[in-house]
Amino acid sequence: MAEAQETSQGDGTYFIEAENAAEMARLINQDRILTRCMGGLFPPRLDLTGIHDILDIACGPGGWAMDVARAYPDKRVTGIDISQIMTEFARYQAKSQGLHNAHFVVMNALKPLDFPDNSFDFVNARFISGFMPKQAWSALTRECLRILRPGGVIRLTEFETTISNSYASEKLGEMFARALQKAGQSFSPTGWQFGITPALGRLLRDAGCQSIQPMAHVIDWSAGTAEHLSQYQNAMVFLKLSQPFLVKMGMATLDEVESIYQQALEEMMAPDYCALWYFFSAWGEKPR
Amino acid sequence: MAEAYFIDAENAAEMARLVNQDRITTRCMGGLFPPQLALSNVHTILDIACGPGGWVIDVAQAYPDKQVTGIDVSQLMVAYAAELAKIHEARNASFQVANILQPLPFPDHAFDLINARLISSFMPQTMWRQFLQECLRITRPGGIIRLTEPERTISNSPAVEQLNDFLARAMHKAGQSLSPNELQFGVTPHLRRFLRDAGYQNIQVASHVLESSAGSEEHLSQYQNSMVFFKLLQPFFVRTAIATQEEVEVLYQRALEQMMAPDYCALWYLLSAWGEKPR
Repeated sequence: MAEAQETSQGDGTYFIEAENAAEMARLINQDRILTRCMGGLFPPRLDLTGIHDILDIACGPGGWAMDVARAYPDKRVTGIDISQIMTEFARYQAKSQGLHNAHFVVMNALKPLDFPDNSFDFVNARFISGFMPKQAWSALTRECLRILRPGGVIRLTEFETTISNSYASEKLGEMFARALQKAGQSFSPTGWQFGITPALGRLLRDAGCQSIQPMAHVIDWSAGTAEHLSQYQNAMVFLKLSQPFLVKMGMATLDEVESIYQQALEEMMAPDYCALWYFFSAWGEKPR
Repeated sequence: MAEAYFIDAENAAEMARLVNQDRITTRCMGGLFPPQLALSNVHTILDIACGPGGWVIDVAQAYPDKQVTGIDVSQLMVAYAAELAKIHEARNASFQVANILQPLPFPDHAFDLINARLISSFMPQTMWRQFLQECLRITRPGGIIRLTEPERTISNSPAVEQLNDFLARAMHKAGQSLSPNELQFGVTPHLRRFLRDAGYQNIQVASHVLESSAGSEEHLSQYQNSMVFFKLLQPFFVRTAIATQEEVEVLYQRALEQMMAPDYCALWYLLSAWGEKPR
């Protein structure tokens, strides 16, 4: 979720400016929490012995890629992202931590990927729907299959809107889902949800993957839970940075959005606040 | 729950649907119990709103040393479940008719584990608290309760999405929704707090998902499930003035068609929350 398409193309613009320090700080935390809630770095029961070369698409500040590099010194990890500041940060972090097996490159995932055929054993893409036009998905998944070795695995992980008992957060979630639909980034025919997660399995199948497996994840960030404050901070930054997107898509005026935002922040801190964020992974294998 | 459930509970088509749903729900939950749960101290088990008894009989067969009781408001379901238990010679499974919106017909501390799956469809929003206090009363200290509830199916079919819009709106009108957003069910975020407020502790949650896209394992079973479910829901939509019978029927036919399209995609998210009664 850390890429942006050139605005001149008019479609596929990430709704947050990619070269933003607040967004980078948010993604550093999000990376860590997502990995924990997914139960680890890789799908459960995946045989890692044949996996040597790993690609992380839209790696942001590089949290997942560096965690993999640290946990598996014998594997080579490459992270790509459209953002200069994210990749530079990731490169600097990897260097300062002595992770010689982690590399970071600036690359636009909406264009052909600059890797030869059969280069990777595992391709990971987490939370990229923020910048993916609906029609760009099949080109990307086909590109991923091209650069995967036979028997290699691709995993896609995407999310739906948070479900909560906060009136204002639900209102913002609804506006967000509709804005994404208007921007051509939603898979939902009615726009009440993002609708991307049900499509992941089919995208993999259409690209030629086999043995596709689904898995649900959830972050419970209700008041009183371990993730409440971290996700509150995440939402605070994310919802703030996405205000211009909601205004641009004609969902409301900036004043209206700001007032709902303030109300949402208040309701998120209420002692009876309840919220779940469902997300979903699908992974599949390139035929041997 | 006879009045509150949006489908007539004494209906054979509904029973057939639940027989399949039981089996599929257990599979997508990864088994009969949460994997982290120690079962050695679990001897007596209650399944609330057991329907045709699928979960109860599965548990009774897998654990012949445990006593499993199922309760349901439906005479038909309970009679069927009892008959099924007899055929399977599951002597440690028993069933009785009981309305869970009223005090539960069991003494204090009667069960080591209470299971309740997909009960939000008949639970008025205001009844959860009282219901869970009753559950706590009949749980022995150190015993476990597990709740499992769904959110709305998310699909790429316009007609299925519209029928689910209807369902969410009708549940709102009927006072069974827990979301300020009338397009969401919104029950799952509340489960943890419900358990905590009732007095349970060490609460854990886990998500599950059932994929029913074209080409997936459960596509046909879920197609059949939806075929019965949305048919039986039609009177509920009409009663709550969400749509006319004609509108609902047209949408229903279109939904059936779109569910069979080769590019149909759908996911159904569920959440389990379980906790322990303090010793």
